[in-house]
Amino acid sequence: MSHQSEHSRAAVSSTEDEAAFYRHWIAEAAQVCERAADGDLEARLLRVPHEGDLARMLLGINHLLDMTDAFVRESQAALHHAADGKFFRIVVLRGMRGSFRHAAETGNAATARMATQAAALAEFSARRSMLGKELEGVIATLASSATEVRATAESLASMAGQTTSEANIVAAAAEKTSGSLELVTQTSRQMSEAFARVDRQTAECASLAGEAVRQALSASPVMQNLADASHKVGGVVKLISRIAGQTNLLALNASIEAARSGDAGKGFGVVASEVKELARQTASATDQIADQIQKTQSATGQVSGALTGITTQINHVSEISREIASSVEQQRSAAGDIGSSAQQVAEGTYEISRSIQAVSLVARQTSDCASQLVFAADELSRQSESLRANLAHFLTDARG
Amino acid sequence: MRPSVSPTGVERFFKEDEIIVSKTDTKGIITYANPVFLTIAGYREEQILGQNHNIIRHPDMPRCVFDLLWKTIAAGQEIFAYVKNMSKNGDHYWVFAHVTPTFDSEGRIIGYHSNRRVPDRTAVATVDSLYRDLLAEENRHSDWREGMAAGTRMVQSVLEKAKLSYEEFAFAIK
Repeated sequence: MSHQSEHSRAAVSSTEDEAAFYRHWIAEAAQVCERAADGDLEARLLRVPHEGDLARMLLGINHLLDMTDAFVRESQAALHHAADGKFFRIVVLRGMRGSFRHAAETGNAATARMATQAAALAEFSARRSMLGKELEGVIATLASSATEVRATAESLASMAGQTTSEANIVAAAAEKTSGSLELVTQTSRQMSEAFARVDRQTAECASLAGEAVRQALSASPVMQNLADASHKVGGVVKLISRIAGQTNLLALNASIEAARSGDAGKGFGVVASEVKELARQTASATDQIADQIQKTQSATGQVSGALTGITTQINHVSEISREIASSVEQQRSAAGDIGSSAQQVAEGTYEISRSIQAVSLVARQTSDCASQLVFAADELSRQSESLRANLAHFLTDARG
Repeated sequence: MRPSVSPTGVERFFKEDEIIVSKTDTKGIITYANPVFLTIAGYREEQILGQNHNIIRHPDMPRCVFDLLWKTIAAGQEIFAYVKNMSKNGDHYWVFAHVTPTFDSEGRIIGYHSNRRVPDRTAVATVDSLYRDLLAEENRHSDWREGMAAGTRMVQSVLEKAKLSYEEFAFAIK
C-alpha cells in the first residue's frame, strides 16, 4: 500500500508517470470490482485522488459498494429477524436510493404482510390449540363414556343372562307349583265332598238320636202310668185278697151253720162250700195277679232305668254328633278355604308363568341389545382412539 | 488517543439520502471511512485510517451505550443505536447507527461495519434526555466500571418499564 499513498500524493510530473498512475488505479479498481463481483463487499479503494474523473470513478466504486453493502446487511438482518418472528426489524429506508429503496420497500411490505399473517396464524394456532384441547377433552370423555357404556352393557348382559336363567327356574317352579296346586284343588274338592257326606250322615245320626231320645222320653210317662196302674191294681188285689179271706171265713161260718142246721141247712152248706171254693180260687188268682204285678213293677222299674240309660247314652251320642258336625263343618270350611286359596294360588301361578315368559323375552331382548351395545361401545372406543391419534398428529403437525 | 478538544455545542448535519459508512477491524481500528464520514467528522482520510473508532466519541455519550454496542456486535449480532459523535473541532452530530459484524467464509468475525443514517429529530430529543440521565447516573460513581454498570441497570429498568427488548426499543424510539 505504500506506493499507493505515494501515487495519491505524488505530483504527476510526466506523461509516463501519468500513465503509470492511471494504470495503477485502474488495476486497483479492477481488483476491488472483481472481489465485489465474487461477493466480497469488504474491499474499498483507499487514499484515492481527490479530484478529476479518476477520483469520481474510484469514489463512485466505493459509494456503489457502500450502498450495496448497506443494502445487503440491512436486508439480511431484516430477513433474519423476520424468520425469527421479529417483524419490527425492517430495512431502514433512510439513505437508501432508487432500486435499493424500492427493493427495501418491497421487502418491508413483505415483512408487514408476514407479520399480519404470523399474527393471524398465531391466533389461528392458538384457537386450533384450544379447540384441540377441547377436542381432546371431548374425546377423553367419549372414550371414558364408551368404557362406561361397555361396562354397563356387560353387566346388563350378565344381568339379562342371570334374569333369563332365574326366569327359567321360576317358570319351572311355577309349572311344578301349578301341577301341585291342581292336585291340592282336586284333593280339597274330594275332601269337601267327603266332609259333606260325613256332615249329612252326622246330621241324620243326630236327627235319629233326637228321635230316639224323644221316643224314650215319651216312654217314660207311660212307664210311670204303668207303675201307678200296677200300684193301684196291687191295692185292689190286696182288697180282693182281703175280701176273699173274709169270704172264705164267711163261707166257713156258713158251712158250720149249715152243718148245725142239718138238712135244712144242707143246701146252704153246698152253697157255702161253693163260695169257699170261689174264695180260694179268688185268693189264688189274686196271688197270681199280685205276683204278676210284682213282676210288672219290677220290669217297669228296669225298663225305666234302661230308658234313662238309653236317653243318657243317646244324649251323649247327640252331643258327639254335634261335635262331629261342628268339627266336620270346620274341616269342610278349611278344605273349602284351601281349595279356594289353591285356586287363587293357581291363578297367581298362571299369572307368574305368563309374566315370567314376558320377563324371559325382555331379558333375551336386553341381552341382544347389550351385545349390540358392547359392540357399539367397542366401536366407539376404537373411533375415539383413532380420533385421538389423528388429533395428536394434527396438533403435532400444526405445532411443528 | 482522544484529541483534547472541548465540545463546541455546535451541531453538524448530513443529508437525508446520505449514509455515513465506516469499517473497523476486530479491535475497533478504522480501516475505511467514506467521504460523508470524513466531511462531517472533519478528518482527512489519512488522519482517520488506523485510528481507534473512539476518536469521534463525544463526552456526552454514556459508557454503558458503547458497552452494550460492543458486547452485542462481538456476540455476532447487529445493533441499532442513537449516537452523538464529536467532530475533530468539537462540533457534534447525531446519527442513527446500524453496526454489524463482518464474517469470513467460515463464520468468524473479521471486522465491523457501521452505517449511520440521519436520525429522527423527536428520537434525538428523547435519546438526548435519556443519555443525560444515564450519564448523570454513571458520573455519580467514582469508579467508571461501577458507573457503567449503574448506567446499564438504568437502561434495563427503562426497557422493563417499556416492556421492550433493546432492539424493539431502538426501533420504537423513532
